[in-house]
Amino acid sequence: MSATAEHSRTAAAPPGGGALPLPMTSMEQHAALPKLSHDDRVRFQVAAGVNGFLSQTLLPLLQRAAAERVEPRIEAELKRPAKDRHEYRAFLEQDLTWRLWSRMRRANMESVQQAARLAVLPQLPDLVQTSRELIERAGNLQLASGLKAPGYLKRLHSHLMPGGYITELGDDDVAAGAAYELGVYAVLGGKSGPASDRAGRATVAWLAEHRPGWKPKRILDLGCGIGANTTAIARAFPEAEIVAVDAGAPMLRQGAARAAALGVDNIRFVQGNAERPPLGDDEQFDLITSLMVLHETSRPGTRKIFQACARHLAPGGLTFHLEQPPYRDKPLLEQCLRDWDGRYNNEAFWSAMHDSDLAAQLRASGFDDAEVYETEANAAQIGATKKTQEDYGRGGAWYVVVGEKPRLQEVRQ
Amino acid sequence: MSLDKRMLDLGTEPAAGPRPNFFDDPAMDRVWDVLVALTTELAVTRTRLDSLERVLAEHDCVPTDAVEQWQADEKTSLTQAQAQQEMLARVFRGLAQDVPGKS
Ligand SMILES: C[S@@+](CC[C@H](N)C(=O)[O-])C[C@H]1O[C@@H](n2cnc3c(N)ncnc32)[C@H](O)[C@@H]1O
Repeated sequence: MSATAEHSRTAAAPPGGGALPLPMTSMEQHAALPKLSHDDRVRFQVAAGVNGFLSQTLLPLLQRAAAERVEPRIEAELKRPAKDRHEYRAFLEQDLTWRLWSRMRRANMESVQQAARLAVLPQLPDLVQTSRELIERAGNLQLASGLKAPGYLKRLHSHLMPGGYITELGDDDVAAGAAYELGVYAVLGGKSGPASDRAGRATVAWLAEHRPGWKPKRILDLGCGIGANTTAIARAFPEAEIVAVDAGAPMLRQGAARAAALGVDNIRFVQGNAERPPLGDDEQFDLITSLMVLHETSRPGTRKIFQACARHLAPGGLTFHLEQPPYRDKPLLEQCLRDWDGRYNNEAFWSAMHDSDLAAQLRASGFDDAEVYETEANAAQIGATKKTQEDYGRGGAWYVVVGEKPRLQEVRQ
Repeated sequence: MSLDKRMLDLGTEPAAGPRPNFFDDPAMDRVWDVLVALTTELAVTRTRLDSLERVLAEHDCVPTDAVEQWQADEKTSLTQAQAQQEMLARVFRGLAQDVPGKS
């Protein structure tokens, strides 16, 4: 063994003391997963390391810069503290550390998405063939070829994924879904678990705590993407029938093929707009979820999604919408950090949603007779996230809005 | 594996949406784009070298100056040039995507 090899073996903790990004080989393996070359595997791991540097090393410096440079400047010029994050940001954006952190964060996000796309495209014909076979055998996919996708999914490609969720590069295309599966693992450096499903597992843990022993029979997951989190829910409720809806055909194909390859057989992937899910008027579900979806929609879009939940939720059923926490009373710097994804990462409804009252919107969308409340789901509870410097907007501590419909006998009383 | 021009063009398409700049001079933003990509590629290369050293050592068969003694023939050299193009497309992506009138 050479001296260099020996030396680099001793894995020191990265500067700042966070967890080392896991290798791509620790992803849950399945037949529909894109194959990665040595260099692509490393590329993703390095990108996760860059994100680690940004959150563990540069972010604390940015917090210092805010306290020692930005806030004194605000006081000096305004003779008072900033009144809201907009005013605060005008000063923050002048600061060199903010600029460097932001530029590197944006550049790295673009790099990850580009690397995912460049890894997927050359093997696309094989991926298409594999997913065709898996889906045909499982019969778990229902597409709607003429679907008019909501404008927000076309206008902005969320988190800088070229082509977004809906662009199809050819027949039976899976490129967006395959790239998403790689990207989502890499951006979080494996922190979301081998199956990138910590939000799904946190949802299951929350349900187990709040409704011990409950076994929903029919579950609807809106905006399921490639169904990584849907799969966690499906695994927890193996007897339930799950309908997973998304607008993006390449996402659904990857999701259906992935579920089939993993042997998860109780999810049906259905293409449709979550604002008006392609269901019969009287179709009812015991549990309706949306995990990290609303921030990509719009205010009217969110209202329609909530109304669809009211229509399709059975008496005694529960609807569960998981997002990052609202800005509300958070310190202005934290608000600016959390708002970064809304301004610079193409998340359509991010800023306005985090400023608004989702619980009030849910109540006003047909849940006036229901119990509506805010709660938290936490990845730390399922042992999925070590406590390190929080990477605002990407953390595993979620805000959840819940609506619980009364049972039939409660309605009659 | 090397990617051809068509694949590189398709693969380096930007996402729809605004392209923010953070510095007063957008040139600085582009330089940082390149630096982040370059650093990534350098780390990839160093890891590849490290992997290679381990493979060679594990097989216990190749003298350490083997690479220095070796010369690429023309065909190999062109294949390597193609791979270099791929790296340049990755590293200079930020510049290539900055289409005048579009951001
Ligand atoms: C960030 S992904 C989250 C995917 C998944 N819930 C998860 O937790 O991994 C958001 C997904 O919502 C979908 N989406 C957004 N708005 C939608 C709508 N109006 N109808 C259907 N799908 C939608 C997108 O296509 C995308 O796949």
